[in-house]
This record gives sequence, structure tokens and C-alpha cells, in this order.
Amino acid sequence: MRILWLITRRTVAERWPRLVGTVAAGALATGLLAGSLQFVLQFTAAMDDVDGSEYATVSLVARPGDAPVRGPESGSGARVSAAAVDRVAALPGVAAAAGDAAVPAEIVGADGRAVPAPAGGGSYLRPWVAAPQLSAYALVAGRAPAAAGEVVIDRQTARGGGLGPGDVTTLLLPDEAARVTVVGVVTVGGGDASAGGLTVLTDPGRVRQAAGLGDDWQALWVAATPGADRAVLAGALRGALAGDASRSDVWVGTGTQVRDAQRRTIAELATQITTNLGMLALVGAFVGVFVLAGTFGTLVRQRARDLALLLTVGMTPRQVRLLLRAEAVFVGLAAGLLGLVVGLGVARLLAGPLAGTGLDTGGAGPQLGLAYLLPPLAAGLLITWLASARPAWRASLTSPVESLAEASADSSGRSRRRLLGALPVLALAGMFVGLSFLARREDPTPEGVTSAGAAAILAGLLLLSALAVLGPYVVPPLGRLVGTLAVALRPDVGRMARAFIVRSPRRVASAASLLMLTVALSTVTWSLVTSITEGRADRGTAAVRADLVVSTDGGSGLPASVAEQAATVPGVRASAELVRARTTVTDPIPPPRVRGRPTVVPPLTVTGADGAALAGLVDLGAAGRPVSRLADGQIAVAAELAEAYDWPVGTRMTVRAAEGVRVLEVVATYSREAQVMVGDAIVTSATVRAIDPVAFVSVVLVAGAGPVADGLRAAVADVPTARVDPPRAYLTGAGGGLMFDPTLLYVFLGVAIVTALFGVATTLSLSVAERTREFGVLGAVGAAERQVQALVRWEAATVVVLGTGLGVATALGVIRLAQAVTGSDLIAARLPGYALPVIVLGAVTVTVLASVLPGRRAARVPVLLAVHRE
Amino acid sequence: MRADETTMGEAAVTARDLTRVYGSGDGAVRALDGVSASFPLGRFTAVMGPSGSGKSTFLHCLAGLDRPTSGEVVVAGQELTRLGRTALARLRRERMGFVFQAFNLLPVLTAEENITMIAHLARRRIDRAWMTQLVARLGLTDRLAHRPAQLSGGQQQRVAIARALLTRPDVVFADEPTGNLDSRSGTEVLRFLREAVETENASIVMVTHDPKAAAYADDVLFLADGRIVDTLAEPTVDEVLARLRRISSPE
Repeated sequence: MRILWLITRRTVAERWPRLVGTVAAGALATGLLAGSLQFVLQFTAAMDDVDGSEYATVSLVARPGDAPVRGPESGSGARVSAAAVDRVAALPGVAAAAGDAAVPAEIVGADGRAVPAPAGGGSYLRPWVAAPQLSAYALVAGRAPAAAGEVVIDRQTARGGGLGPGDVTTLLLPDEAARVTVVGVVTVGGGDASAGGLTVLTDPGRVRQAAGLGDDWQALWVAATPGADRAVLAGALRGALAGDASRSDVWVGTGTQVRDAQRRTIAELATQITTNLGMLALVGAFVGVFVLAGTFGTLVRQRARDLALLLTVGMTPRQVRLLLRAEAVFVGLAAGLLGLVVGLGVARLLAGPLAGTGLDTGGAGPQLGLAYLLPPLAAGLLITWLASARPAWRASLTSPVESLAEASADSSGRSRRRLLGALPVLALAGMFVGLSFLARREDPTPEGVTSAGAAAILAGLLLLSALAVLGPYVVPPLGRLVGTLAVALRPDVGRMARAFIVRSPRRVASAASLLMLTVALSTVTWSLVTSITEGRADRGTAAVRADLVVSTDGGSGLPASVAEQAATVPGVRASAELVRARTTVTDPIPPPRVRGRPTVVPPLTVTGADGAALAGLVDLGAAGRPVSRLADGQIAVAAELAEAYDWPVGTRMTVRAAEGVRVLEVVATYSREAQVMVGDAIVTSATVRAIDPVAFVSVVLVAGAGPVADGLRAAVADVPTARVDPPRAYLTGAGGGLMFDPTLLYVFLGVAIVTALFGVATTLSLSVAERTREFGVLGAVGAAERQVQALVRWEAATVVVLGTGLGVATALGVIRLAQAVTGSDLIAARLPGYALPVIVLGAVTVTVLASVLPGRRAARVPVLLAVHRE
Repeated sequence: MRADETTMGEAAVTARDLTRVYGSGDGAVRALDGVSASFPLGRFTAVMGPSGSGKSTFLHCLAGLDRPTSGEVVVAGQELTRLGRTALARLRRERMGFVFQAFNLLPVLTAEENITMIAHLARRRIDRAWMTQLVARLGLTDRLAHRPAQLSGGQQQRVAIARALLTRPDVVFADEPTGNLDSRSGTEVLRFLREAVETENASIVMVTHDPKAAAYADDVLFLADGRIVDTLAEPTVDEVLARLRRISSPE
């Protein structure tokens, strides 16, 4: 055992330069995992940091409906009247009572940009609570608001927006862009901000106006007198509100319960992010195992003679395996440790694009607890352990005499074992193809299609692995082609180059398979992102008749007053304001398609608009007429959804949003082209306002000649995130309603590609290094340095041809499969014209760079060292 | 043939005052210490000496595989120490042939490809008639399609000899060519080298520690401590042994 340890130590110490690339590739692969983890930890920490709550001093909260927090599923239109607040305040045991309402609002910071909300929270306007028993707000600067135009902000908003008492700024509310003066800064329940997000406080009357509440409130806050029995008080509260709410159910609970509910929402969000990031990180890990298996294989082959010697002198195959696995552990630990560092960088990279989607990690610094340190180390070990399995087995099973024999250092890599090894992988890929079709047939809803698409991608990854295993079989025929070219162009080294490629295909295959993986990953991703973005834009522009689209880059949207102003800009021939609300459909839900799994209807984006105006600016086909006459109580649904969930014309649907429930009759279904522009369903503006009175205007469609754009820009100048675009630019832009952020995908893909490229470089340079002697002999018998370099270059050319050819072919196959499975014309092999040249050029550059240095080194191998074997 | 070559007279390789020092300071080792020698065209010369006498270093310097610390080597009229790496490589593939103890064939190439490799590198037309003759004489005719791993040691070394002779070099350097072979194969190899000198007028410089091998040569140079200490023409095994004994235990 001690000798094993000694050999391991010495090997690692002496061969570390060769391990650098391998460790780097492993570090990047684990870095992806670590980065995702780090991001989630920072996100969670950012939420924990902001543990202040507006409910900190609230004993009881009463809210019409059945849930402690508002959401698209709460669906209660009931309110708490001002009279009821007074009634409750007079109850015994009540020290203070006040009405509460929260209106989404964005405040513009000193830099002219909207202050971003932290970690999963929103940004809300709430009433200033005067009663000291109830108020969780403690002024740290300035004073309380005394008029409608005065606001108090929390400390995080003040810091993030560079605002303080005396500053005049713009507050974007659903109804208008208001000029407000900051008069004070508060802490919320002792924290810089509420766990629910940023808070702007103002005069209660102004909040009610913005929320469209009239004299009512959304909820009621109660502070109990010391010693009052909460349960008794809760009962009294229910009684006092019973006659008030239009529906009988009133949720009454403690402030702590509300806080917990808020936390749960955020925790669910965190879980969702973790899952999504985890999926992407898994692709990274897959690339890592792929790369490391290749480089480990090469490293072990290089030591075949040493290992054979050990076997000859009596080391058991098990000991040889142990030896190699111990080295893998070294590499894994090193990769894991480096991966932790890489992870911090990846987390930073992720924070950028994710902050834009509201997942801001705020000021949370690097999280370096065990929760961060252990998983990447374990992942690094697991990746190297998996990657070293095959090379270690192979090494321990070779016959020592074979390895020690002269001139047998090389083998074709073609064996029955390899063929047999590829079979199960191919079978598994086939199984996933079958599964994906099955999933699609069983469940044609968008959810089913998504899982079918995921299965198709998995099948693609497996196919790539199988192709990599079979590389040595694919190389010779393609290598002969390249070789023929080599012989024609370089008669001096061509034959030799061809022999090197065709008769030793494993070397070329291991570098080529990594390149193939890189090319396939980039082609698939690039193609999917392009086809989905452009395909959607194609559809949308086919239906839209508007000339310009006013929208916002993220953020809540346009205040109604701003949208109205835009509509009155001179030159505007027609306009339609689209107000979007997130809703849930509770009835009818189709029966389960898969036994035991209830059908889940995802939240629906319902657009409220003036039907006649909308029908004039968007081609709704046959639905145009009913939509132009759309009345309250009616809804038009996208044909795709109507089909998937069985909602034909005449169906009565129950639609819930934050503030109300409506039963609406389906009067028309419209094309998917129109769906891109108008969303999942159309209702009247009045309907959407009734179920979600605080929704912003998300888009204004405008028909008008060229110069109108400048007028529109001037009209929306108060909203920093507002933009005016032609329809196509809007649809491909950030505000265009794309369901995913490609930046995130690019971050992961980028790191995965760099990982694979490390693999290509390492494999190529190792493959040159393992032939030191052969190149030395060539030098000794008179090959010029340039000739040796040419040999290496031709080999690299084969790697490029093979890697890009197979990579692109596999990518097209995977896309075709995903297309067949999902039946979506948005998924297509669609790349910008410059993409293929860029990919090929990228592959060439990488391969040349990766082989130039080793080629040079090979050409300068000291011939004496080479020809005299020790 | 260039003018300067004729001035060199009948020498295939000439070494003048060769010194090769490895390392520096106290640890410096003087492997060659002012060696001068001329190897005539068309002759078979063996270089002998005890271990560490500098015979391999001498051969490497003569062949341009190693650079002497001082002194000069002239092959085919060209002073090796003045040549750059590329020129040296060109000279090696055009004017020299090599036979190594470890055969040094390329495993991915067949016997035939190994033999014609240098001609290809030099972009020279292959003299097919000469190739056929060479291969037949070496008994490799039915082995040409085999790879090194499929050949015996003797056969591999014969392939290496064919490789060295195909371009009709000015001089063939052989470094312990029989060191890895059994006595029968070794004898075959030596007989063939001898035959090449007699029938093709080849010039051969061979380093060996085997008196039987040296007896195939026309001349023997004896090296000790980096200097030439003796020479012997028309050697026999007994005579070589006697000289070696004398060198190893000077009175």
C-alpha cells in the first residue's frame, strides 16, 4: 500500500504539467455546478439579510379570501371597508387598526433608472401607518409623508437609487407617472427592506387611489393590546368583518403567518431557480466527464509501459486500478478546489442576466460555508471518478508482455469491447427517443411537450456519447479522405500523415469527439435560440398591423396616463393599449391524460384591451369580428391553448386574478401568430381592471407614419425603461415576452465549451507528447522541423473535419428529433447565415492553436533522447 | 559534386579536434577530448571502447545528432557545426543513413513505408529497381506489408538497414546495430552491412562493443576517456580483444 501511495505521489509530482489541462477542464465543469450553487446561496442569503417585515409589529391580519398573501390564485374581489376598519378599532383588545394595500410601483433613482427590486421581491407603494403600535417603519432620516406628493422610502431603495430626503423624482404607478418628493427614509421591521421587496410609503388616500380601491382597503392590520387573547380577538375580527366582505370567507391570521407565507413564496422561487440552474449545470458535468474520460485515457495510455512493468513485477490488476483511481482522486480534488474559485466567477456572471429578471442577489457577498465548499468538491471527485473508470479498467486488463513489447505502443482502439460498450449507450438513446414520442402522445399539453423535448435533448447527448465511443471506427474512412488531400498537397509528408491518422484512429478520435461535442452543443443552442426568437418574431410580425410598439425593457410596464399620452401623439392613426394580467383558470380543467397525474394548466397571460382597436392593429383572422365586439363577460382564447385544454367556443371559463374571479364565455379562438402579440387570451379592459386593478399597461400598439416614433419617445420620457420599436425589434427584444433569457444559456454554454476546448487542447498536446520518440526518430533520419509540424497539422485538420462534420450532423439530428417530438415549427435548424462559418472557423482556430505549440515542441524533440530508449 | 567536396579527398566524414563537454563547473564531464579522425569513402569503420569512453557521443557528433562543444565535422563537404537545424535535417536525410540499436521504426507505418519514408521526406523519386534489389537481398520481399509489431527483431533491423541504404547516402551511421539481436540475426545484419560496402561502395561508421562485430570492419578506432588511443586495420576478433584488454588495463 505504501508503494502505491509513493508511486501516486511521485507520478502526480512529476507529471503535473500534463495534468494541468485535465485539472482545468475538471475545474470548469465543477465550476459550473459551484457557480449555480453559489448563486442560489447568495440569493438565499440576500433574502435572509432582508428579514425586515412590514408585519413585524402586526398582531393580526385580516384579508378577504382564503390566503395570507395576494396572488393570481387568490381571486378575491372582496375588500375591507373604511367603516369596518373603524369597527375593528373599537373592539376590546385592539390597540390600533389600519387598512393596508400594496400597489406595484417603481421609483426612479438619481441615475434616471428604476431602482431594481431585490431577490424575488417586487417594489410596492403602501400607506404610511401612523399608529406607533402598528407601524414597523422607523424613520432614520427625514419625516413622515404629509401629502399625496410626498413619499418615504426604505433604506435599501435609498441606497440603491441614491435618493434621500428632499430629492424629487418620478414614481411609476399603474395609473400615472407621478412626480414625488422624498421626505424620509425608514427601516422596515429593523431591516433595510422588507422580505417582500422594496417599499415606498405615502399618504393612505393616494395608495387607495392608485389601487382603485375607492374608500376600501385590501386588508386590515390589527395591533392587540398587551395580554389580549389572540384567538378571541381573531373571532371578534371575523365577526366584525362578516357583514363587510362580499364573500363570507375572511382569512385571519398572525403577522408571523403572513411573513412565513411570504418566505414560502420566495423559497419556492429559489427551488425553481435551483432546478433550472441545476439542469444547465448537469450539462456542464456531462461535458466534464466526457472531457476527463478522454484525457485520462490518453494519460493512462502514455504510461502503458510503466504500468506493464508494474504488472510484470507482480502488482495485481486491482492494485493498478487503485493506483490510477488514486491519481484520479488527486485530480478530482484539485479540480474541485479550483472549481470553487471558478464558481465564484460563474456566480458573478450569472448575477448579471438574472438580476434583470428580478433575481437580484443584492449585496450578498460570496457565501463560503460548508454548503458551498462540500458539494463542488464531491462533484469534482465524482466526475474524475467516473471519468477514470474505463481507462483504469483497460490499463489493469492489458497483458504486460503486450505493453512491454517493442513497437506495440500503438493500437487502433478498435475492439469488440468498444463496440459492445457503445451498444447500451445507443440503446439508451433509442429508449429516450421512444420515450419522448410517447410523452408527447400521452400528454399534448405544453407541459407534456416540454418533457418530450427534454427527453429528445437527452437522447441527443447520449447519441453524442455513443458516437464518441465509436470514434475509432469513424476516423479511418474520413481520415483517408483528408489523407488523400494531404498526399496531393504535401507529397513529402502526406503518406505518413495518412498513415498516422488512419492506422492510429484512437488519437484523432479522442480529440475529435470533444470537438464534436463542442460543435454540437453550440449548434443546437444557437439554432434553438435563433429559431425560437426569430420564429416567434416571424409569427408575430405576420399578424401585427401596427407600425410601432411602445413597451418597457423589463420593469412593471407603462402607467395608464403615460400610455394615454402616447395614444394622443400627433400622427398616431390608431392605437391599442394592452394591459396584461397573470391569471389562473380553475374551470374547466380537462381530465388527467396520464393516469394519476392531474392536468396542470399553467398561468394564463390575459390581455385586456379595447377589442375594436386591437382587431384593427392585429390580424386576428376569423376572431377579428367577435373580438372587435368583445363585451364584458367574454373572452377570446389562443387556438393552441383552446385545443390543448379543450376550451371550444361556448365554453364558460372561470378565470382568477389577484383581485377577482370572473366566469367568461369563450367567443372566439385566434391564431398562434396573433398569440405572439396579444398573449394567451383577450378580454375587455374593464374585465382585466376588475380582476387586477393594479396591472400596468404592458404594450401600446400604434399605427402611424415614421416621425411618430420621436413623438412617442417624448411622450414616454418619464418612464426610464420605456422603448419604442418596430414590431419585429420589439418581439426579439428584452421586452418582447420571450419566455427565457438566452444570456443565461450562453453563460453555461460558454463555460461548457471552454471546458471541452481544454479537453481538445489537452488531448491534442498529449497525443503529440506520447509520440515524442516517433517524432524524434523522424528528426534523426532527416525530417525537417516544418515537416514534423506539417504532420501534426494534418492530423489537426482531420480532427477539425471530423469534429465539425459529426458535430453539425448530430446537432441537426437532435434538432430534427426535437422538432418531430414537439411538433413545433419554432424548433428548427435555423442559424444566422454567418453561424456555420463562425463555428467552423472557431473549430479550426482552436484546433490550430491547440496543435501549433505541441507541433513545435514535437519538431524540436531532442533526437538523442528519442532514438535512445532508456 | 561541388568543388569543396573534391578538396576533401576520399573522406566520407572528417572530424577535427572534436570536444564535447557535458555540464559545467566541477560537475563537467569531458566526453570527447580533442578527437580528430577521417573516415574514408567506401570503407567500413568500427568505433570501439569501454563503457563511457565516448564512442556514442563521437558517433552522435559525427552524424549531427549532437553538437560538439568545439571542433568541426565535415560530411559531404559541409561543416555540420555551421548548419542550422533545418539544413542539418536536410543533410541527414540526403547524405546520411542511420541504423539504431532500438531499430526506431515508426509503428504506424508498414515495412515498405518505413523504408521509403526518407525518400518521401526528401521528395526524391524512389529508385524502384534498387529498392527491389535491396529488399530481396535483405529477405524482406514478403514482409513489406507488415507493420513493425508483426516483425521479428532481426527483420526490423533489416528494414532499418534498407531505410538507411535506399537513398544511397554518403555515409551510414550504425549505433550498436546488433545490440538488440540474437547472434544469428546479428551476424546476418553484419554480413549485409559488409556486403553493402563491397558491392555498393557504401561508407559505414559503426559503434559497437562486440569484437565479433568489429571484425567485419575494415578499420577499428579505439576510444578511451574521450580520446582515440589506438587504431587497427583489417581486424580479427582475437586482435580486437587483445587491444581492448590493453586499453582497459594499461600497464
